[in-house]
Amino acid sequence: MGKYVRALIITAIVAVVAFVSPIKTEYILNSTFEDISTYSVIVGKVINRQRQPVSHAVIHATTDASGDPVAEAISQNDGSFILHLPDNQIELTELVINRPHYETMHILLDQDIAAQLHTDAPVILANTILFPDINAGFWVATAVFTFVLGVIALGRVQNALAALAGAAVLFAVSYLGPVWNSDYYIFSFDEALEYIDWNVVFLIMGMMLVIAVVEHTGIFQWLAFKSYQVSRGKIWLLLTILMIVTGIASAFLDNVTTMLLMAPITIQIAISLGMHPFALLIPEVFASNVVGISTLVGTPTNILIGSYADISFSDFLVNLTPGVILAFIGLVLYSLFVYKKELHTDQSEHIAAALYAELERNAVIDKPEQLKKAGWVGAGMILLFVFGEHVHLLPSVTAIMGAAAMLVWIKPDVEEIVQAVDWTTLLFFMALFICVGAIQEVGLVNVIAGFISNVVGDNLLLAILALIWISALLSSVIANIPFTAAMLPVIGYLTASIPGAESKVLFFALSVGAAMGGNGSLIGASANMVTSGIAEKAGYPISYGYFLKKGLPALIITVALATLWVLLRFLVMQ
Amino acid sequence: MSGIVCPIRGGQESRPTIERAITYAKERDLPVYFLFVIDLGGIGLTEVPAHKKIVSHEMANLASFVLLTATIEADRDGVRAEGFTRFGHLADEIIALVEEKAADAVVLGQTKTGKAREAKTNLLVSKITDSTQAEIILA
Repeated sequence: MGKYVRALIITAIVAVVAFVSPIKTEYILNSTFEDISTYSVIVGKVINRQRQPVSHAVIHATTDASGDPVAEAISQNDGSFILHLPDNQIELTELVINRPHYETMHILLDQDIAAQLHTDAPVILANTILFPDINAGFWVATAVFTFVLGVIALGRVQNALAALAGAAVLFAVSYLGPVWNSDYYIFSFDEALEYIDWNVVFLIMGMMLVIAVVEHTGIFQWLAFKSYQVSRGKIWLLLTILMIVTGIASAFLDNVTTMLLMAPITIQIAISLGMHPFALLIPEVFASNVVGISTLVGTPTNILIGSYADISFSDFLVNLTPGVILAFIGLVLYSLFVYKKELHTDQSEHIAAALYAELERNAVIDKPEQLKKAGWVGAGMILLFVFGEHVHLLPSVTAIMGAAAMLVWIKPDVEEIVQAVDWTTLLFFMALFICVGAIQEVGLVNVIAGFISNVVGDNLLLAILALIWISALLSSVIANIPFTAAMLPVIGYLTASIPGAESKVLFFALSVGAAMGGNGSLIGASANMVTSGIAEKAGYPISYGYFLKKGLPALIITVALATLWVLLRFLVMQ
Repeated sequence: MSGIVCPIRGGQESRPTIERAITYAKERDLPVYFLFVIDLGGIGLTEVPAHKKIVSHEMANLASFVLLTATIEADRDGVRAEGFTRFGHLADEIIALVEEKAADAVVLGQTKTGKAREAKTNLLVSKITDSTQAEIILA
């Protein structure tokens, strides 16, 4: 057989193997006809029990004589491998596949395969299934991740510290544990770094820089005061406008910053109207949590989901925003109902002139020129977020470009703006990615995915409903960022295995549940805690019971309406 | 006597304190110095310096607003009143204002009953009385 014909056949086989996987194999680009044609070749693919590709598996070919390996290959991201055999090593008897956290697999090569190798024809193996090895590393990674989640939930230490301590324990066990027993190995430092999603880290950092510039302009306070003026004392109208303002702000900025800026001026407006601030504050924070998910950059959970599942800014607008609007309308109606006593009065006559003047004084735009420039840059960023995907522009690149443009054009105090980057949160994300990577590495994610898969089977409707509601309820009691980060690979598996889920509907379901679930309790979202902190300082402490009483129905209404949209969009309209 | 210091926060729980201070001041024809102490601890997620700065700014605005409501009420009752916003710890700032204004009385609120609250109030009272000669009036 001519070497070019052989090369062509092998290339075709590789292409077929690669085509089966959504991820293209790297070796197609790296191999040349000359390379392949000088060797006998065995081609195969390594998968796990859930039929997901297994990367970084080491495949050895051994001979009968010594048992020593004569050739080695490493499986790629799609699980495929090519074993190049020296021409003189044709007495192969066995392939050995090793991968930490999987049982070692021995594949005996029968005489037919040996004969095929003699003919120089490539040998194509059936997919090799590796079985998980539940060893000490598995339990350590599981225990560490559970501990990190628990500590974060209890709020006893900072999130970043909890995650960093978890990552440190994982590394310590991975490097020191194998001295006693190799089962303690979890992953190497290099392997752990591969789990950090730098797109997420840089997108969050870029948005923090942008927000730092915008938050000093006074625009939020001005908008809140204008809402008050426009409503002309009709408090139901004031509430509706404030919810819209807060919601739109939250769709583009993080919810915590939005509430940090909106809460104080809202309390002042409420005091000036002689009403209890909760009637405005609580619906505002609900709106922040609900509307935040309408864009890619509105919540950290959306940033995580978008980056992992390659869901663009436009995808969120098309697939989620209508559902968010529906949920928001429900939320406004609910708020008007639940606070009807406080709202349905015309209190325009009650405000003292001095208080009005003070309110106006506290709500001026401090830096109009800065705001104008920030507005232009912000508009440009939105255009790039929407249309950048057509030139494969990552959202993180847009955010960094926008931040740089603001710094160069507006020329704020760079030191001050850089200090505004919440490095603690970025550290938290990096350490969290490592902790989640550990449970992926040891197979816990596959165990969870397998369990969920057994429960929902091929039923996409059931999977959507389960995911939205379980995420919502869990997110109301545990931090939704680590929860989302842990669920992403699980959903990746379910998306690949449930018919119809390739529309990424399950990722949108996670987005809805994880963010809107934050309204279920005071600890459900950081924005809730910040609002509560400011209200408490102003003499209006929000109790856990009060928030639960108002928040749980809000959760049920908004999640139900968003669920309705998700089902319509992905099961009826497609 | 030169005046009464009255630390407040806002909200319904400060109402009795404000009213008591105004009544006491009216009886003795003294001015009231309403004090709002901003302690940023406990707001959450404000460890970032820029967040601290923006929260400080917003809380100062909020404090001046709350103080204004109290001074308007005092004015209505014919009592001279002034508002002060300070950053720091409550006891330290009360003591500092008492010394600054040479005040002779401090009207303190008791937000809730309970042993922990009682102990906290007692601690505050003892700190003020240890450092100043001001009379303590619990509203």
